[in-house]
Amino acid sequence: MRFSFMSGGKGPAQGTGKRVAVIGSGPSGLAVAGYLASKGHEVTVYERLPLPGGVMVFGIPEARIPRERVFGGCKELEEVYGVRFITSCKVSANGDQLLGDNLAKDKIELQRVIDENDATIIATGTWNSRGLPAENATYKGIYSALEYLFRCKANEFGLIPRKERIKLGVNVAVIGSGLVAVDAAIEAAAEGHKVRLISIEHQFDSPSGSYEIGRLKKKGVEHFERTVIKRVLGEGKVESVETIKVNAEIKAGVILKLEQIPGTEQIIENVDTIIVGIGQVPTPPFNKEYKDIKTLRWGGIEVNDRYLSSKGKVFATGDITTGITKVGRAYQTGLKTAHWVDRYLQG
Amino acid sequence: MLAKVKIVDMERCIGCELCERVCEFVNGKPRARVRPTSDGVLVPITCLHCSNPVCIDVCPTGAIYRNEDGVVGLRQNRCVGCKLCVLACPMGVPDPDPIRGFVTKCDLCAERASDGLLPACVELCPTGAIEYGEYEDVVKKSKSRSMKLLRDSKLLVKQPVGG
Repeated sequence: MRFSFMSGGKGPAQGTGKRVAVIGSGPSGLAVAGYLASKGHEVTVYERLPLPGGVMVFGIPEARIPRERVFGGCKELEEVYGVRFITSCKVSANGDQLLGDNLAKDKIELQRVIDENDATIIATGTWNSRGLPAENATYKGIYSALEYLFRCKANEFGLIPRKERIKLGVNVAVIGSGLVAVDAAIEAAAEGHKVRLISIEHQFDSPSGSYEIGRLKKKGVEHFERTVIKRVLGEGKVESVETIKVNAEIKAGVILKLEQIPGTEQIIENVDTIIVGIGQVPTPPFNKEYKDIKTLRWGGIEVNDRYLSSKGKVFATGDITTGITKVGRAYQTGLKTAHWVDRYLQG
Repeated sequence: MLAKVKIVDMERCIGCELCERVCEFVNGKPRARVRPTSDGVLVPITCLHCSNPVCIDVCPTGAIYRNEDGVVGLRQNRCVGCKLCVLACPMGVPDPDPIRGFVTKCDLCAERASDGLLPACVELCPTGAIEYGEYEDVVKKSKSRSMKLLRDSKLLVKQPVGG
């Protein structure tokens, strides 16, 4: 991926002397970095994980996006465009402890980053997973799909030892039918576990598309559609789950109406692990509010139509402003933001 | 003879919509659209710059042309918005714009090409599914790749001919 596609890898335009900090190196962060580096700004990318790429590297399986293309693009940015990648460095202002934060060696205050640069772009994405909305959701053996995928990838890169991978039981139940849940199910099935997929969506209105679910079914995954988990059963640890059928009205991926059908409770025996992939929540580097930067009710950062947050010279982009999306849309938001940042810096 | 071609390797495409989104950013309106087929596979629908483009044949005003690189482009000032090309195209690629009164279609980023840059979607496809280059190179590459896929899938079993 040539993130500097605006100048096609031919080197930056004449330097403007403006300094820009990008927090997070996912698709939208790299889009901003590539665009602004092409325009001749001095860009620094802060990444809390040891490798750049964000979800493209640590969430999406290698079979979908080859890492070499992502790393190749980053390397070009670094060598040809002089973008500084500061990895293993967490920018924080009392934010939540996130997945993989123990890999970050350095810590830098958000205020310092804002003060040192002419513009700061927050592109930290959505790294917190939604919890399971059921009784006894705190039992042992319930993991989020992103955490499962992240630990698999981090182990493959040799960043964490093998024993820190999540050990699944023989029978795995994956909740949700989005792409994160589907990827987790593929990974679990490839490891040789018996996988059941439980989702509100039907195969044909699932957010990941009917082809992905169909492919899972061919691999021997059992799909319980129009089903939610009512209760997790067991003694402090998952042993089986009680499900209930639902009536749902879904239009373009949005659940408009949801009601449980009484009398359709069913107990699925022998479930050792539950992987929950029912959506993710934005994770800004601060908690709820930071000085003048406001967040919205669902956790995203409030921005205007130029992606400028309520505090001057701080922009926000990517999934943190729109909620979780595909790589393409996150990248486009990044490009639009970069366009406005460029206009802002040029005056 | 065709100089440059663009093909999409569906084996590698993951339907992430990046080509559509970056095209929208560069050209104002997406000229590639990622849509599901009846089987639910997400497919980018974009101009393939056919060897024998029917859109050129049906265009009454000669707005659609082919340049020396083999790129099928569109002169917007000549287009009258009759939409014949939309009907003629097997994939329905040209996108009518009812407000501005002409169609838009992929011209492999003609503006970028004049600066010596590659099309934006080719540069940014995260999986490298969009192949672009000299006709012979791309054909050779895609052929060797499909042979490798066949070999890996063990569909090619050594059998006596006719057996």
